[in-house]
Amino acid sequence: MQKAMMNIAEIKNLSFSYSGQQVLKGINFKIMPGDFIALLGPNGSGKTTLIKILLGLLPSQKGKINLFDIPLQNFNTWQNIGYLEQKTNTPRNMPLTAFGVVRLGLLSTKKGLKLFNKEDNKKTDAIMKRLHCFSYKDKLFAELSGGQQQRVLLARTLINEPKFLILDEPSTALDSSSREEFFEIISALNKENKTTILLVTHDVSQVGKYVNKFLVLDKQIIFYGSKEDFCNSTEVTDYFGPYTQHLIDHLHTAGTCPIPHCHTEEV
Amino acid sequence: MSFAEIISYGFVQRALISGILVALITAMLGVFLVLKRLSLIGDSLSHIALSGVAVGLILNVTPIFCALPIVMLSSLGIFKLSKNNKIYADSALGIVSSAGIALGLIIAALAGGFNTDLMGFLFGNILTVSTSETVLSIVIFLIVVACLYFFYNALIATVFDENFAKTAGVKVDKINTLLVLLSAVVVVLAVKTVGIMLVSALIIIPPTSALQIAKKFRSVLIYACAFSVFATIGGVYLSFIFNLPPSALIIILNLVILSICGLIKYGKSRKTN
Repeated sequence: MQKAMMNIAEIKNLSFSYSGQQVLKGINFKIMPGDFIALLGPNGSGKTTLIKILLGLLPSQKGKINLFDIPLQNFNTWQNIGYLEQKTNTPRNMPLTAFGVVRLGLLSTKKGLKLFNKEDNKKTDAIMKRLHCFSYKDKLFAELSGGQQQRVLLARTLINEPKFLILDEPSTALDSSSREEFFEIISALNKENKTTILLVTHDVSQVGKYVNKFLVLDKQIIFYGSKEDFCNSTEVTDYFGPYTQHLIDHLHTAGTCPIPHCHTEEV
Repeated sequence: MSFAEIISYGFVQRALISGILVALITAMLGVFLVLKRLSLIGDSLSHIALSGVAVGLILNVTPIFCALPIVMLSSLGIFKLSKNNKIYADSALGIVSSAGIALGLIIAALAGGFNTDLMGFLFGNILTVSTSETVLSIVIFLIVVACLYFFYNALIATVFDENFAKTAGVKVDKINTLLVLLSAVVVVLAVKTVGIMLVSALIIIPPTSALQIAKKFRSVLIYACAFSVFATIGGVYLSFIFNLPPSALIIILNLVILSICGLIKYGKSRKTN
């Protein structure tokens, strides 16, 4: 008998409230291997909260979460997951070089005493060369530009070659050409290494050509499905009105909507 | 009086051994605490130590041994208060700090007011360190160094970015608990060297000086330790020369070093610009 395909993540009936306010309600969805999902939603829709619960950074008050078919509370193979935040809360005077920051990504592979060796240094050099941040490896992280810092943090995230990459608005600090390059890098990972990606973004026109699924959130799931269905989705435009219309129009403008005569073009 | 003559005395040898070990561990821990913006934990815990010391003096138990469990429990209290996000970390430190002083004052009053022993703990007296306290310094030094060595990268990751550290499999809560517990132990130990009123200076100033001039984490640790040890030896020596309290001289020397490091940094930044 053929073994069933493993889910990368499965969220069942998840709800979360903060200070008496419902932030997430009845969230159900699965992430399959190889998915490249754009997670969209207006500000305050619960995108970052959802990600933080998925990673165990916030407690899930109601519902179940499995990562790689393992309940979140028992999950310990964190090297399979890469997480990049919109911005870090790094101390302003942190005496850590870019190299030191990237090498920290290897911590999840260490059991017991978390000490680094020569092999770890080689691996760090290799990923920094691949992401074009090797030239400033000895510079202090705090002294790098926003774009350089984000590249270093991406290198740290990718150093373990994670199977599941969670990116929370990672391109906000980048200029437009660096942003394009950034998306090319993660798209290549998705295509070549079959890395599953969940990307929180507002940059629909730029990511539209790379992703294969959309997850639209506004405290509850408004839409979850393929890019084709997203372009034709009446429930999304009905719910959000101009907000989603704008997003779908972006996809058309960028020529990334795969279906030529979809719902929004008829509006 | 020459330095060789001074260190020929047994009480000076004990003072130097104990002082150097305290200087090393406060500097090492201080680097993590300063970067985590928890440097005032030393101040709060030292105030709690006042209560512990007062209890010890009333019960006629070695004050440091009495203060140790009280300060350790309080450090966990600070951690819990700041962790639940209902109280800001600096507020939690302030609350525990004032509670420590208030309790200490009440206990001291009940014991018949401030006697010379309690004053010794308030302002420190490194020259009265006993043999058992020197042995305790060695034991605590070894424990702190072992913890920092084994959890070095986990500590750096936690200081750098807690969310990242959690997703890298670091047990961040355990690391933070370890850090505050070690701080509690070190504060109690340092109370004898520089006193309750000045202990936080030993945690804050050497790391801050090192952060002005060193670029790598390891260099910051090395510089902070070197500055702290130099100030301690210098403070003890100068106290004999000028007949002034060693604790105050240790802090003044640390401040002189901080000023020099600040000037070096300023000079470097002017060159770059």
